[in-house]
Amino acid sequence: MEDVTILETIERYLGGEMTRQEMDYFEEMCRNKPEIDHLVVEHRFFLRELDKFGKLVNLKHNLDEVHGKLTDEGLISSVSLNRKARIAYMWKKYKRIAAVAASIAGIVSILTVVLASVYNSNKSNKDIIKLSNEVNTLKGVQNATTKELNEVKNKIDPKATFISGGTGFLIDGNGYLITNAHVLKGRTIIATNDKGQQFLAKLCMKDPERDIAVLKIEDKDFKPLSFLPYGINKTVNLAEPIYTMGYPKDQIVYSEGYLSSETGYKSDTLTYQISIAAEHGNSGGPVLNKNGDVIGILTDKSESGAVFAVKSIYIFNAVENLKKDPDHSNIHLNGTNSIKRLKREQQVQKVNNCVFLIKSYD
Amino acid sequence: MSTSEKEKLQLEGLAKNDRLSIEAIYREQYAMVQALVLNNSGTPDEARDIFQESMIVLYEKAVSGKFELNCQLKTFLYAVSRRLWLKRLKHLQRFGIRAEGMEETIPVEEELENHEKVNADFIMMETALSKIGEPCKSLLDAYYIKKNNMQEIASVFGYTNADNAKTQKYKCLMRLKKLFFAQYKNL
Repeated sequence: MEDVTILETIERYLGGEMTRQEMDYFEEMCRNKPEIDHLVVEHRFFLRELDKFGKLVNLKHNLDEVHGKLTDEGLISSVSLNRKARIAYMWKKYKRIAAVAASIAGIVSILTVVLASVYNSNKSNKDIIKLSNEVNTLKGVQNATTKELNEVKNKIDPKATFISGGTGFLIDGNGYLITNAHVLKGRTIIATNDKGQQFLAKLCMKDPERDIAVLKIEDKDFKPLSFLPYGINKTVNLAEPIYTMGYPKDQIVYSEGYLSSETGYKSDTLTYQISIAAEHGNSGGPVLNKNGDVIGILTDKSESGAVFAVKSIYIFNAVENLKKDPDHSNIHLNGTNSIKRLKREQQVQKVNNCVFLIKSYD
Repeated sequence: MSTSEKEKLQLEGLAKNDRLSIEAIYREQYAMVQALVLNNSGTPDEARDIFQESMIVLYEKAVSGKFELNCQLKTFLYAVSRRLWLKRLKHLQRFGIRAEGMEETIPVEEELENHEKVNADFIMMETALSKIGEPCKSLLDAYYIKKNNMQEIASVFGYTNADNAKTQKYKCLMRLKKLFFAQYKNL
């Protein structure tokens, strides 16, 4: 008998799918052929292991989803409960170490400011290509743009002209999107989701230095999401696999690569260098690690093809700053990842509807 | 319904991986474990890990059928979480802060020993699955873990008929078995 046939027979036997007659015949065979008997024992053991494994995978998945749900309901807090007490305690304990650390930190930060200003002045070099869709790169698709304008004429002034665009993604299910500052050169902003629904968005803050901007969808058609699938993570590892999703064209495009360096263009510390296929329009898209955590925002590309991403820590900073604004004090960064244990295709399916095509018009 | 009846139902639900039971236990017990971890130099993420692992220990006990509810769920989860967290603290060498309010309650050695074994088995299967590659991995996942039927699988994966998908599935299963058992030899 061929291996596959034996296996199939054993599985039918173990699954109780045999007729009485077949079963008698099979059991007789097992008695006479110890090697087959052993195969049955081995396979039964293996199927049980596989079944146990499957159940645990499903359980872990359920636990993650419940955790995400309760976090969004506010039942589980992602900040320490007795933070104040602990900080006071630690302060007493580590006062001296803290003093030394603070003075070192002071020196380092002064150096950083000096270095950053040096590098930032370099950064304006023209060999960096912003990966946004700008008018000159889009001359060839004038027709498409006109069509686009007809579609959005309900939302904006029909005389508006397309200025620039890229990608953005939700950081708060209530409609807060993050993208690159350079994506937004026009005054009116339209965000389109993967299903082609268009929403008006308002600029909340823009930081050209770090190339970050936060938008809020303010459109009655937008339905807030109760939770986002991904978390935002500050830790990265050199060479870890990453992926991104963005809108170099009207349909969402997935691409994958790896983290090449923990610093960016000419050692710029604001960004990571990544190796990934990216085109005009990918700017502002999320860079996710294998767990589906956002580690950065895809930003630009050097002429040699290296791609850079703003570090996720600046998302946290931007949100902290925005919170001080009374209009946006409710903004809440998504902390829990519910897609960690999913396969890539399933992760992407969930991330899909949180990534938007961003276009700005004047 | 009395507490013990309610908890018995929750446990039965957990053993069947019933989402609502899991959520009910989560709602009632999470805060306690979170406080335990946070008050003993842990972070919210670590609290989640510890709670979820304790839930898995509870699940293992529930499916073993040996679980007699001679103590409240809270007591059991507390005892398991405490042990898991102490172990993690030791591993992280985070001795800095004395464990506060972490008195031992009921012994759970046996459960934790069993859990270690289950964990090791889980990792072995995970490792074997990660090595077989696609489309084998998805195929086996769809059939043995998601329990989809062969007809559906054939159409999703694009096989012309269920029989071909089935043959392919057996071939994949043989490879997985080989990889799985090879790890036993390396132990």
